[in-house]
Amino acid sequence: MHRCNGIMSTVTSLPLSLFCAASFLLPAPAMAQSTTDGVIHLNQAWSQDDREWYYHFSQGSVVIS
Amino acid sequence: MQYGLLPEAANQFNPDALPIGISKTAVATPVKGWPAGDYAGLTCAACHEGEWDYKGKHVRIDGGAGNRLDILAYIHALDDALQETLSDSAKFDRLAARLGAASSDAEDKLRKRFERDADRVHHYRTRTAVSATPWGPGRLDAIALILNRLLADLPDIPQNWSTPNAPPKPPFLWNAPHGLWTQWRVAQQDPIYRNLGETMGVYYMPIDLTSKSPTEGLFQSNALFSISNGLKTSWIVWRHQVGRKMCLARSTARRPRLVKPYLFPFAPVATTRGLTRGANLTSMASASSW
Repeated sequence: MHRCNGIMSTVTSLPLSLFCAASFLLPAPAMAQSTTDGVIHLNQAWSQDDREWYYHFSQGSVVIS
Repeated sequence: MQYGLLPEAANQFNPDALPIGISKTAVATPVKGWPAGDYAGLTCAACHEGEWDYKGKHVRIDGGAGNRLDILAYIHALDDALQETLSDSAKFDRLAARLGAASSDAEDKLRKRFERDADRVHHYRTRTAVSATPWGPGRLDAIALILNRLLADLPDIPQNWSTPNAPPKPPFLWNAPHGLWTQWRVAQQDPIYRNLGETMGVYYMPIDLTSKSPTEGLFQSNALFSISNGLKTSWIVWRHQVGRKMCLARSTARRPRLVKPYLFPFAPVATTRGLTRGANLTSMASASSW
């Protein structure tokens, strides 16, 4: 009976142990990056420089002069 | 902003505090129908930047699927505003005053410039982007717009026009800076073709495809690319593969016309920022899988 309880305890605690171990191995959830303009940027691993360049770098298209 | 463009403060790349997805392009050398000067135009970010409002916060997703911009409504509103300003002398005078065009000569020059822009936008609205149904925010038939520009407008073959009536959502491209080749699909497998397709097709780029010969200006463009930075191979492959296919493109007319076989050997006459970040330019501009 004690042996059976020991097996059951191992069986039930194994998933919890694996979950705890995995929580250290898995990447953390995306952290938000706050800015001063009231906009929250999800963390896409873009620097502010990347972001500003992407927003406004000219690709040659023109609409109005 | 009422059409979904996202406001952005002035910064090193945006001294004029233009909305996200609008950039300033300096055309240094005139191209047929395109005088030199500063222009405002669209970039990738206009349609590939997401923002959600949640509990009073603006949550921005860089490179995310554009969920706000109603590009068709924006084009219509821009056209309406330009046409009304041209037809209403009081409105035009107010514009001239704000731009400092005080003398009659300066006002005449402004009007000519304004008429040219207004004609271009009106043509885009009434020819390129004619759709039976409104697309709404976060939807656009970019493929049809691009093909209409490339195959109907620029080479002046109106029979090649097709109806832009299949507007999906713009895809995300947030992983673009990490890839050298971010877009691949049957229709576009070359970064140069894709980049030029976007800049020429999504809206406007100064380019001359109607002069009779290169000496008269044929192929002059402000397209920004360099064939000396590793793109040469792609360019050559593209010319042989895609170019040949385009030669065989048939119009919907009873007597099909062939697309000009020498459509895209560009001669860049102006650049905007050089290719100091060429890898990023290639990957980022290649990224949106339209």
